Amino acid sequence: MDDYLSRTGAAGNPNDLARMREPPGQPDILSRIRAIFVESLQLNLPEDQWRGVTRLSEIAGVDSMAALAFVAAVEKEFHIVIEPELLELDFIEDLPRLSAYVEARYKV
Amino acid sequence: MEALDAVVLMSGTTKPGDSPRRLPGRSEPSAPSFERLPLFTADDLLWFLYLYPLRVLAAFGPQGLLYSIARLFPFRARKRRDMAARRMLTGQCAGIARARVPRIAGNFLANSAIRMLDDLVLSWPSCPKKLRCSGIQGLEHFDRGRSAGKGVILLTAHFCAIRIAKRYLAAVGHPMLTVRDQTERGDWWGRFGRRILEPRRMEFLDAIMGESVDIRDRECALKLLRRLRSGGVVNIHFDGQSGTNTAPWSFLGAPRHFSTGIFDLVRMSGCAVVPMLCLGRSSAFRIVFGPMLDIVPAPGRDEFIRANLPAFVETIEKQILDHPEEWEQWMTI
Repeated sequence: MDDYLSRTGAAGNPNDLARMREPPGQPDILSRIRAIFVESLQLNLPEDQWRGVTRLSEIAGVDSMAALAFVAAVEKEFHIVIEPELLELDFIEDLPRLSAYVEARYKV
Repeated sequence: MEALDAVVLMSGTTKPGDSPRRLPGRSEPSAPSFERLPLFTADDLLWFLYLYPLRVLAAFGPQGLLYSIARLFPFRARKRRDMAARRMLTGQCAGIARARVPRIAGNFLANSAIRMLDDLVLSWPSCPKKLRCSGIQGLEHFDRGRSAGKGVILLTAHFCAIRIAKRYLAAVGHPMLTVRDQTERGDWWGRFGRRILEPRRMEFLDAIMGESVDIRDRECALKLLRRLRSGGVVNIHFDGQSGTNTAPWSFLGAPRHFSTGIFDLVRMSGCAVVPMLCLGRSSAFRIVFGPMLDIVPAPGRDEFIRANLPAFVETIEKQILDHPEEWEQWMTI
């Protein structure tokens, strides 16, 4: 706990907390995907509320059309088409998995 | 016994912990507490007769006998017929002459009754043997749509024969995924109905609907897109009640909001859109596929909707005005 506090700072800045939760790998794409989600659904949330999250549900509940809008925005941003078998909410909401997938496709 | 298929695709987001959004314009059934319900209502009785004795009759009795029951419905449903006639007149439905309205309203009611009885036929596994298709027109349009490999949306309106046609098409090798509104509207039940009949009714509807996805399913749109991108077929009733993402357009002479989810699916999948019309009853029905709609490309989502919505509306509007007595939605327009 002391170690955790020393790394986050005494004030416990939420942005720092969020950065600590950042999973390894694809940080740039991961951040872009989070921003795409917030922008495509016009959530108007400050960045400190969604930086570092690993599941979309931590930002906002996603229903049917929101999921579709998010997929459309990701595909447009990265010029990819997600394979049909991956069009599942569990995959779409899992940002590290989605990010890894996008990175693999984006480089091609 | 309202038609349960719908175009509606729920849209939007909720903050964590929020309850799901309600669809605008749709009044949720008031749900009095179970203890305050009467033990048994007239609707309970009718549903009991429908789900048990009539359903057995549909399986083992001749279809002619089943359809003879439909003749009883106009007697009970005079008020509904009058209401439907008023809707046809007040809806400013250009193309339906006032003199034709009483006859159309009467036929509409008879067809609605037949549709309910056809649902009984569909509820049995042996139903494909009982379906008599008198013809399929325009199959080349459907085949052409499928040949592109990007999936097909069969654009339909709520016509009485749609369920039997879909079941028939599935049986002959054209399965499709249907969008369905499974929202329970059980405010007519008594305690007996709610406890005994309502679960039975849901099982019954599951049996007759075939492959479907509920509009309340959070994966609804993704499942539809998945099917289309796999080259499959999706059926959407474009005259369903609107979702939260809608666009206004004139429909049967009155303004109406149309769900725009279908346009997102078309944009993202590049699928073909083929109008389908189904007419008749289980003992004699026909299916008519229209030419593929020309999808107008557009750079943005809103432009795409604006460019294509009129053709979609016009297509189903023409179907309805050509066959008003077989369209199921007069009571809800």
